[in-house]
Amino acid sequence: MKELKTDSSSTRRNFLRSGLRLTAAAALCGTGAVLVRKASSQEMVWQLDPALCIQCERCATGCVLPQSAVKCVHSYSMCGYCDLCSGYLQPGARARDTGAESQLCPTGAIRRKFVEPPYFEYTIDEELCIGCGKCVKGCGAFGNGSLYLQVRHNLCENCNECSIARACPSQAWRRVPAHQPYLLRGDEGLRGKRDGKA
Amino acid sequence: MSHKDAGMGKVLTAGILFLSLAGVIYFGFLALRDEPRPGAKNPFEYDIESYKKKDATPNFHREVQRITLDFALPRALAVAGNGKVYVAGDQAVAVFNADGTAAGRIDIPGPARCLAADAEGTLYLGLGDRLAVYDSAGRPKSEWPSLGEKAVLTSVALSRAHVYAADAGNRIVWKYDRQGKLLGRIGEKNESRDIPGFIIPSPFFDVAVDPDGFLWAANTGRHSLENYTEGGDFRTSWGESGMDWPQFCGCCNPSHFVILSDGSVVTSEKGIARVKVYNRIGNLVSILAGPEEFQEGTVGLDLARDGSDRIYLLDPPGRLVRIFVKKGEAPAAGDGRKP
Repeated sequence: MKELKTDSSSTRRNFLRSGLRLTAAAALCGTGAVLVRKASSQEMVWQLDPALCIQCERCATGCVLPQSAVKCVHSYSMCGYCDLCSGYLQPGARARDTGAESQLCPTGAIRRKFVEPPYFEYTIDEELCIGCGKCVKGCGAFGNGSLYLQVRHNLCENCNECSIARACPSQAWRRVPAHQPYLLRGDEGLRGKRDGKA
Repeated sequence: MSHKDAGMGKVLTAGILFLSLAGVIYFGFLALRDEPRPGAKNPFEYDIESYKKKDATPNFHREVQRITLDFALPRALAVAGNGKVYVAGDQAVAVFNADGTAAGRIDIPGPARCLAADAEGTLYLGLGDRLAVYDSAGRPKSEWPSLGEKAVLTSVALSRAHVYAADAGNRIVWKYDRQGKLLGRIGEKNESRDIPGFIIPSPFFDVAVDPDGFLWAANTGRHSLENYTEGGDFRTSWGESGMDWPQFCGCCNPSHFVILSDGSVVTSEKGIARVKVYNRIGNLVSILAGPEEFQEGTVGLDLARDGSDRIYLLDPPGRLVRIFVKKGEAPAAGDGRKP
């Protein structure tokens, strides 16, 4: 009886031990598989880092699309709503108005709307914007830097080798996770980071 | 048609075909190249460099001394009546003797965006939304109440009886007595008093007191310097927007200014970093420093002066205080004071 008891307890212990080992191994394999799957399924897209962009104009001409997928984006929280907007008006413009000769944008893609004296709101017409970055340069050099360039993912083909990234002289292009596809500035960027979206 | 004419025709046809083929190959090659042709003009170029070229205005000043700063981000500068130079940066104020040697360091509870020092060396620091006062030994004396969560203090100026604090967030100048009692708000838009109101698109909003005791404020969005009485009545203004040297460039300038003992005004700008001297009615008389003397993207060129009208210029990216005197004058430090 004694021997039988010893054998029985030894068998149970062995069974428990083997069971635990198997469970641990299964958990480990499962976690690894989930991680591998998550890593391999993380879709990446191209984006332009506004902090590195030097507004060289190549975004306008380098894209494979007939009209570049890079567009000007406006951070309203950073904008000064200036009458004399250095991103909208030609330097030394004769008048602060919407005349074509006063505008800096070669395609007239920035809309200027009177808010209250002496403030004006500026919005981007993305259908007209060609992503040349001329307004971005003016705003960054003389204003608050509220205008900046971003790849619009409703337009971008997400080429494996982006032709603009290849031509970018300041290494401003990088791959970002598809669930955080934008590198936004101002309150919009902070809100995105808080919510887990860019 | 003679044989000779037929031969000529063949030669011409062959020539045209050859030239066409060469053209197709050449332009096709150019079109397929990634890089633009060398020397090709960028159709979208916004050439800011052309605005940086100096005009014929002379420079009547020369740089005589530099003080190196040990701050990651120097923010503000003041010169006290005792000749000491105070520089606020990070979470401290560095103190220097008039000869530029270090004289101490005052730790402060947060970053100061602006400061002023009186004749005895009492310091008035703008700590975000409030003013704090330190004695000449660097001991905290008092902290005045917060001006609200919108307040962003960007400049402090002292008259004989008052302390003026420029608030870029609320777009007004707060007026205190020396003990910290709030006496009023200056510069709020008021059509009946003919006050245009401050337009401050970015956190650069400077104030100073002239030798006659009147307050001057930089209405940067209007590219002008405005003059107010102690009671807040609008007296006059001057300044013009534009890229030319006598004008103030960009969206919001001048970012800083200081008034010399003869009433002339030294201004600094961002966008195109330049420091200029105007006479008391706003005519440009001298270019003290042009963009070629600063790093690209330089902002925050704070200005102060001492009792001998030596001009102190804070160069944040260079981590320097640069000192200028009038050409022909001795470089020795005088007894300092800041209006």
